[in-house]
Amino acid sequence: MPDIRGRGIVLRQRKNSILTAPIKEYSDCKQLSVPISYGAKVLFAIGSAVARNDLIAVDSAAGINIYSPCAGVLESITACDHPLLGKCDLLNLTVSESAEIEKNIQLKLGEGKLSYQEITGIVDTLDGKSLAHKLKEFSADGITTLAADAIQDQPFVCSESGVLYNHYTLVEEGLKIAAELAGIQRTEVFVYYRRDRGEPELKFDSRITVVCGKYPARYPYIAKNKKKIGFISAQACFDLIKLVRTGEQQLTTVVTVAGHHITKPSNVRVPIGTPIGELIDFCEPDNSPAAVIVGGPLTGKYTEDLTTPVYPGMGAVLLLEPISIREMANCWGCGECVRCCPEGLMPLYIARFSRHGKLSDCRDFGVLRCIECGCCSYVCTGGLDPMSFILSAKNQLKSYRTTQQKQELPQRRHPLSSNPSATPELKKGGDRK
Amino acid sequence: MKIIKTSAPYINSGKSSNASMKRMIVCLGLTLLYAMFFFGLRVLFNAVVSVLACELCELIVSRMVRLPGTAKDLSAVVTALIIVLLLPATVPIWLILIADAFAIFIAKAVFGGLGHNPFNPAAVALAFLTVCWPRYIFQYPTVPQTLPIFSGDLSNVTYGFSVLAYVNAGGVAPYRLADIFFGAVPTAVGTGCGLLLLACFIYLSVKRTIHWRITTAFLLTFAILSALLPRAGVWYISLFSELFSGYLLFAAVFMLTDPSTSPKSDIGGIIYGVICAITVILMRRYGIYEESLCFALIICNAIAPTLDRWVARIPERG
Repeated sequence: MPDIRGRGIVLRQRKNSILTAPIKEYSDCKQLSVPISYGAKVLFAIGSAVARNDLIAVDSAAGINIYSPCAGVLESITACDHPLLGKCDLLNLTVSESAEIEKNIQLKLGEGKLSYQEITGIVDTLDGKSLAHKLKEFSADGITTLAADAIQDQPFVCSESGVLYNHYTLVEEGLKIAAELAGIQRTEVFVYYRRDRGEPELKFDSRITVVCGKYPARYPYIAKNKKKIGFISAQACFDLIKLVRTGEQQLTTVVTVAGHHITKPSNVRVPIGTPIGELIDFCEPDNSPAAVIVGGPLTGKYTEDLTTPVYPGMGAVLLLEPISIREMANCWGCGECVRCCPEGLMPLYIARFSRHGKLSDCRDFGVLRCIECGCCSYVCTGGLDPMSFILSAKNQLKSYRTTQQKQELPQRRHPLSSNPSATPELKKGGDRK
Repeated sequence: MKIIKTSAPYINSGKSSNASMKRMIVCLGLTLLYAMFFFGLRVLFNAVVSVLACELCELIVSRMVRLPGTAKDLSAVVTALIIVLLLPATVPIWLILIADAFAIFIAKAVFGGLGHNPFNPAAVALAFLTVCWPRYIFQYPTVPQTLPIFSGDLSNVTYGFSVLAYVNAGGVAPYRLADIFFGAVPTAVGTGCGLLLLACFIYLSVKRTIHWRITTAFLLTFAILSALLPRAGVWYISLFSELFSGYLLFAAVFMLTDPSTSPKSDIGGIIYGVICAITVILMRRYGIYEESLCFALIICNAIAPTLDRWVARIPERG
């Protein structure tokens, strides 16, 4: 088992039961909203009928082709502020059976190699990038091992590891095809596993490398092996083999629906563009008040909008018990966040400086090295949220870097500093003489 | 299904500051209980008065700044107990009240309350008392003797010299080493029993309430330096009497490790402990007061944030 760093936090994973259960299918949705980026070119006019598996939009900047997840009518294109994707466009499709024209393009394997052009419909669910782009980069960077990544170390979330657990052979085959395409010799499969107290131990295939340890396990592991191993998601491998076998593009994705307030937590395969509200109803929420989170419980985003569409890479929809957060001014300096920070930062100082707008101090304390894991907010004994302050300082510093690279940040100087550039008043006095 | 508005983090560990405060209070309570064995109920009365006074001060502060709930965080109780345990059992009540008010108003509230105070409130209060009323602070009753619980009439009480007073005078204390270790010598209320304090240190370290690196670095450095530079007789006698006298061990466990005034980083904590030990050695050797650890502690509190900043910039320097 690979070793990981000692710092971090121990989290109850709460997903063994979801992991072993078969993935459910949900495709009864009548209205799908497929998210596309602003620059993407839509190939159909509004009001026209589209078939399932039809190319409906091309995002040439990202190198992604978007295919219709259902047969229906393109009703409208609306702007949307997606909690995870940010500002994007939505292609609103109404599902209608009459427009059903199944297009089955059988790819011919064996007659020459698969080309990158043929897999532009597949998005890597880890980072939302085009699989073809990633594979091209890997082969250019001289990566020696291609890995299917199902290292999901946050509680509840197991969309990738669920796919791996249910369709191991298919994922492995897909991975081999991807490796062949990129000209990489070795393949490996990674999964994160930490047994909860009282739950039975899961058995993984011996060919799978199990990453374990404290959260965050994934980021340090990937950062450590960045130069040797190229990581693509297990779902992308599955979609690739599906594309090769049946010609069906990436039209569906697996999302974990779980949380304290879901009575039947499970992995659900849904068409891209399904509103999360229907997904939640499918898994039967209880009636108590809950907070809706998309993504992981530590790094995800809160949303109130139940029409938020599913996209590849969402990972999970969670209904969690809301917790109350106090103001940052209540920090009493216990230092718990310093002890758990996997990067060895001092979150409490960074958050304090960020709160007072002292960006250069934040930079001194290494805010740009923050990996945004959320450990500091999780362990905070004062019930505060240092991560939000750290993120705001990090984003401000980053935007400062890109927009005003020449202009330096105002330096923190000692009041008695003799550096003339730091004390313009003195200079003026000299001129007057 | 009703959707509740929320913000990150969406899950948390559920640990609160109160839990660690409670653990501190348990340990301080044990030392108080041990002292009651020597001095009777008077120390308990002192402690109750001190706690009530500190909580009252905290309440006044929270009313003044209109911040509800600061009196609930139990930090004032910890400060109150530390103050009582660092004073002799015979100390007049008005002195305790002054110390409490000074600790809460001047050393804590002025800087913005819990977590914003640069200096340990108890150490500041004790430094104030040491400067103003050294006569009361360093007058220790002999043990064991039952003191009057409420009465201020202490004419029948016998007083003795503490170990540190002998060491400061360059002599060897005429007490058995076991008595020094178990606190059966004239000393402050809670600082006597070395065994109990070490047990508290281990318990609090295991529960991750205090930073064990600070205390360990401090005690090791102090031990090495006082063995190399003995003040009273043979090096091991000198080392033993320095280590288990005054409130060195008590401060090392409960005050030096105060989370809001000590460095948060591991390396910073070790350097802090070493610097503090050196300061204490110098102050004990050349200071005019019998025990000047509180001054050393205040000086070291002042450099704690600088140490953290220095440690944070280590990766930058490479």
